[in-house]
Amino acid sequence: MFYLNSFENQKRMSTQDLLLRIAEQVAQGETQFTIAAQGQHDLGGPLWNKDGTKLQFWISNPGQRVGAMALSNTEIVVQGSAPADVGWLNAGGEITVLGDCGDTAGHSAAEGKIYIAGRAGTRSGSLMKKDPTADDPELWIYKSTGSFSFEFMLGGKAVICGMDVDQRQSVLGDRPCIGMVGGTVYVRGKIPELTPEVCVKALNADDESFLRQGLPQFLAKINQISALDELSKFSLWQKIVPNQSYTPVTRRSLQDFRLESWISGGIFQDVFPDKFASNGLVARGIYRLRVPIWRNNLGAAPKEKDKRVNSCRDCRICAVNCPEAAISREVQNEQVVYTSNAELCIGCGICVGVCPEGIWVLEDNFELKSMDG
Amino acid sequence: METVTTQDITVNDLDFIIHYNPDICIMCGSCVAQCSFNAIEVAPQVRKHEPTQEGAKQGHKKKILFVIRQKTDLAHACVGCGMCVKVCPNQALSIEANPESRKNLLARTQGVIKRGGRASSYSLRTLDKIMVGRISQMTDPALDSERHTFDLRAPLGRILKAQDLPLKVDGQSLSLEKNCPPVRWIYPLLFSDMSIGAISTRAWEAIALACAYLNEECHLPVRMCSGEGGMPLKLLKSEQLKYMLLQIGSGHFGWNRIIKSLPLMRTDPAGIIIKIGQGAKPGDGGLLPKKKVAPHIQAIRGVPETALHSPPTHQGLYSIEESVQKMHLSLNAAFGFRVPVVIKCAASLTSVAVYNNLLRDPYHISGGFFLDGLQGGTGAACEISLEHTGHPIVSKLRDCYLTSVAQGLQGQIPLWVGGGVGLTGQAAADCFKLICLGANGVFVGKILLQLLGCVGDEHGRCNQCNTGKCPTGICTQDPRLIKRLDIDRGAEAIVNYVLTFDSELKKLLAPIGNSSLPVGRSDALITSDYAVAQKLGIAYAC
Amino acid sequence: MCRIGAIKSTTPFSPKIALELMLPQQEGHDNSGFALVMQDLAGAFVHYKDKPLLSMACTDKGIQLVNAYMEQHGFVQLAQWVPDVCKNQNLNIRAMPRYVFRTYDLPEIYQYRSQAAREDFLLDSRLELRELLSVDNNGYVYSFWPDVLTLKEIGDPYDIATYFHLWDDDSRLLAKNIVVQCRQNTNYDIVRYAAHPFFIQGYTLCANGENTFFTKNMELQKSLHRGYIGFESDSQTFLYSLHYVLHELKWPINYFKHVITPLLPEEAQERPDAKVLALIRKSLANLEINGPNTIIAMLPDSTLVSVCDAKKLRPVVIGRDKNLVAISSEVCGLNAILPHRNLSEDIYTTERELITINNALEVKRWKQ
Repeated sequence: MFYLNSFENQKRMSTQDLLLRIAEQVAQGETQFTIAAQGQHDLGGPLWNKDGTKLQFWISNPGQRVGAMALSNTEIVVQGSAPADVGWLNAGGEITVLGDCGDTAGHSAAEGKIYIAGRAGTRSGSLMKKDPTADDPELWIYKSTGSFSFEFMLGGKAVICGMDVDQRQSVLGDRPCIGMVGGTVYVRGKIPELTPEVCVKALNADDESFLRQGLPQFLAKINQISALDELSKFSLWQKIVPNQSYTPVTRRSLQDFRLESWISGGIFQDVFPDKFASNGLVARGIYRLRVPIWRNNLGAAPKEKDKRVNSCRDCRICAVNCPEAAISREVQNEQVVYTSNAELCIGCGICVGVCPEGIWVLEDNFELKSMDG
Repeated sequence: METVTTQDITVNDLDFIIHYNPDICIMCGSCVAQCSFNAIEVAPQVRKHEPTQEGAKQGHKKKILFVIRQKTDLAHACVGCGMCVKVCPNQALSIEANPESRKNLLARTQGVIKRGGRASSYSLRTLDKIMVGRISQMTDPALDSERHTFDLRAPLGRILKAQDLPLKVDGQSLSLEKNCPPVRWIYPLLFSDMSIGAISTRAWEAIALACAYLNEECHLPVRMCSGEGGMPLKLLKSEQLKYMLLQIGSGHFGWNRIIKSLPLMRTDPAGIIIKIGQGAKPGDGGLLPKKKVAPHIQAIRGVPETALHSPPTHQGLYSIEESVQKMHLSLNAAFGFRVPVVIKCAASLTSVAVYNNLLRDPYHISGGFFLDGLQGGTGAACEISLEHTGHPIVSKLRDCYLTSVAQGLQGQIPLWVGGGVGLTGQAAADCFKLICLGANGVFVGKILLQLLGCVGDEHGRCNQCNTGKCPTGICTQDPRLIKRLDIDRGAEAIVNYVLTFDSELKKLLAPIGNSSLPVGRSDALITSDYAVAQKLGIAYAC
Repeated sequence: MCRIGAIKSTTPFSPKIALELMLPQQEGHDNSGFALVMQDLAGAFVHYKDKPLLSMACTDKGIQLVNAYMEQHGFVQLAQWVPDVCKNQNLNIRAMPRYVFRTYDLPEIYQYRSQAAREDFLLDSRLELRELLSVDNNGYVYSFWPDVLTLKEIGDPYDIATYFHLWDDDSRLLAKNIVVQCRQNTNYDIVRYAAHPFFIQGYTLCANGENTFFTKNMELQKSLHRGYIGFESDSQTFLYSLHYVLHELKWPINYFKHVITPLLPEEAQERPDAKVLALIRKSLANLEINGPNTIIAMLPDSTLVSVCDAKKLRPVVIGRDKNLVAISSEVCGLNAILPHRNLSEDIYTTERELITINNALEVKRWKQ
């Protein structure tokens, strides 16, 4: 056992000096450490014994990031409370805190187990990960967490026992599990309002079996084995998991909204009724911008094949060139009459352009006074 | 051959040249049929005929082809809207802006040029010289724009100094002793004033519809300003009135109808906006050509069929003190002092004086100062006003904000600014920068029309809003053209744009570590233009 | 970032306890300075609790300037504590030539004036002294207030404490309240005035984190009160907001929380005082903070206050035993001075709380 007091005669060892001393001891084969710390960071990891023997740490008053990047075969027990980032990027260590943890406990833990005898702070369990080739990381908390817990959680298992918490209060703080896309948070106690991206479910047999196996071990680590019976009432537990069936709220189409929730018939209905059908750029009938008029020699229809200037010579070039085949030719009273069918005509004026005699003219279509007639 | 003289106007004198490939044209007629400006026509073209047989007669050396031809008279000059290119099934047409155009000169031989759209001073945009340069790195954490909770709301209404609030200490809490001026808490992007008449019923309704949709389906408290052309009666009588700011312009159009509707209103409007001036044409009143004063516009505005001019100023206002009092007071009173009354002015060298008058008004009667910069749009203006009058919005906003800071009055009369917001398509960036410079929110108009389908731009494209011939059915009252506008699709585009705006605004808030609007956070901005840095009091960076 | 702390005890204690609170948190700050404000003094000033105490660091010339000023304005010097400094060359401290802690009798005329008038007079005197000493860097005036002593210096806190003999239990320097901070290195220039805690008219405050709404806060505060000056640190604005809400507006302290971290409008709407909250938010939008910060403050009646930003982006914890309560950025500080306390009584201030601790060591948690 290596014993070190980092604070003597009002002199405090720096984090660097302390970590180097520990590394030196580990290199020499020491595997058990009792550290009286004074707020030094990063105690407990990442360290390994060259023979694969387990490293054990008993630490009092650590600074931030105790057990950060701890490797498997590392066991850390913190006497009392620890500040922020307990077990940050835990890569396999078993970390027990016999008090409270500061903010972001278990942040980005990817393997191993973190046991907390008290509360965990704000943003605890955020970004907990899941390595498909390794066991899930676990974060066990006897009491509760602060707000914004399990933000962006990707995987792993978190257990919040909700002990010693006022029943009216959330055991997860406010706004937990924002952006959680993986993993499971087991909760005993009040759950606050959650984002729709996650959902609360009852425990299934696998969940119960996980808790049944894990609880005795956890409670033994934090010296609370007497709570086992109470915590084994699985009906009091729930779990939060990503909502697989979550789809972002679908909005109604604008058309549905207009038909169902908008002012019925439109806001101009009283002065300018509109059924809101729309046309393409090219329109026919009353919606044409212009209309062709067959204006044969001031209205006097010529006899067929009469070739006077400014009168139709019945060359049929208009009818042939009309892209919509809208022009029809009839003989009435021995005189030829060309007409453009409004239902087919788009008002392009090709007939006007091609007519060698200027019989067809294009006029503005003033027919339409309202939207639909 | 027809004689062509040097003074004849030909295609290369015009702003736009239509290139046409007769080889692939199938003469379907679509392009000519749809051209609302009547700028193209079908015409015969005489071509040289290569005889295929020996002994072809001399007279057959020419042949006639029918082609699409651009008209060359100024009245029918192509405006470059590109609808013909859109409808051509074979891409036989294309349009090119003509850098050698003489139209600007020649058109003035036929009188004052009127048009719509924005000024063409595109290159002068200060906002594009400003970057968000203060990014949270080590000093403070940036936020996640998609997951953190943001509170993007801006005040509309008169805010009192904390020491002037009628609060009484009541044990451990405060209680209110009397009412304060009304203040709305709204989204920092406001759909600004485009009047019924200037734009079509469908276009106006599409914007109103998008506004209601954003409130009811997306929970964004976006508000819309009516413009000075009155209000549809059905909207006045509806619950959706609460999304609307009613505008009173110097022409006072539609207000008789609004007043008569007071007893019928089920809810209060979001606000009243007194329009003094417009950034696009400051000092010039509104203008609605007779062509657009259709029967339904006559009905809504309560006017006969005639060209409608709004005077350049409100004729009953004689001095600034009186303007502040008289106008604000009447409108506050009309709505029982329950509705914020704000004022909109064109940005001007005198804006600070106006803002000071509002700020120092002892009756706390003005609920917002809307400043409209020179890149704002208009439905109709004399081009000379559009291009040569006005003041850029950025420094004017800054001047106004800093004058309020100097007096400890910042935020008391919310500053809303517009005039070219979103001109490059990126309204969120413009909005963010303007907010950092002291704006509470921004208003947009032109981009809403562009989202509906308007193709007008700052390079002279289209901008024929004043002619009633809008090819997209937006700035016209012609049912044939209005019919082209799909109201649902148009409104959907606006909705989707605002949702993107919201995401993008958060994308800019997150890196500076803020979850509520950084009004006046000029420390977040940098510019590589030293003069801009000096003028605005932001960091110079290079 | 800074590490901050505060201690309140039923019996006077020495700054050594505050040093012990901060020492374990060394890696959380950067060991670049040390500053403390003591209030409700015992020791050298125990008989002068109602007399304004001037705390400053200056040059010899500075002393002369101050003496002349005080004489000219009718102040009569009473008690003085001159720290016995350790001139060891190896200490990391940028010491000033002179440190002055003196109590004065107010000019006679002020003995008959109202409390408010006296408070204003003391503020104005401090501001004038500060102005006077700012010429040629002749010194720094930190506080001038009854029963309040401020000590600040640049260097390693451990060495600063050695320099002033703070590690020794000096019975002349005791108080029932100490607010303490261990950093001098602001993000920009190293300026003594930039070191927390800051003080104005009986209000003491320190904070950690960057104030992202500094510019907004400052631009309004500059016109709110003549005493809102300096702005060498972006955290000074928190003090001025506190002073403004409590001293100028005379609002209950809960509203300080509402001002700096307003509820979302939909939450505020649910409250019985919804209308008041809406008004406050709009009127004092410029005093809003947007994090990341935790704030520790001490009020004129020595009440300690703990409050955080709305996203709770900085740590803080409160621990206690029967006779002593401490607020600390990190729990390792509490472990150092209160190793045997009941851990389950520790309070981790949440983003929606305002915590006050009165002189009877009663802790009140108020949820916004």
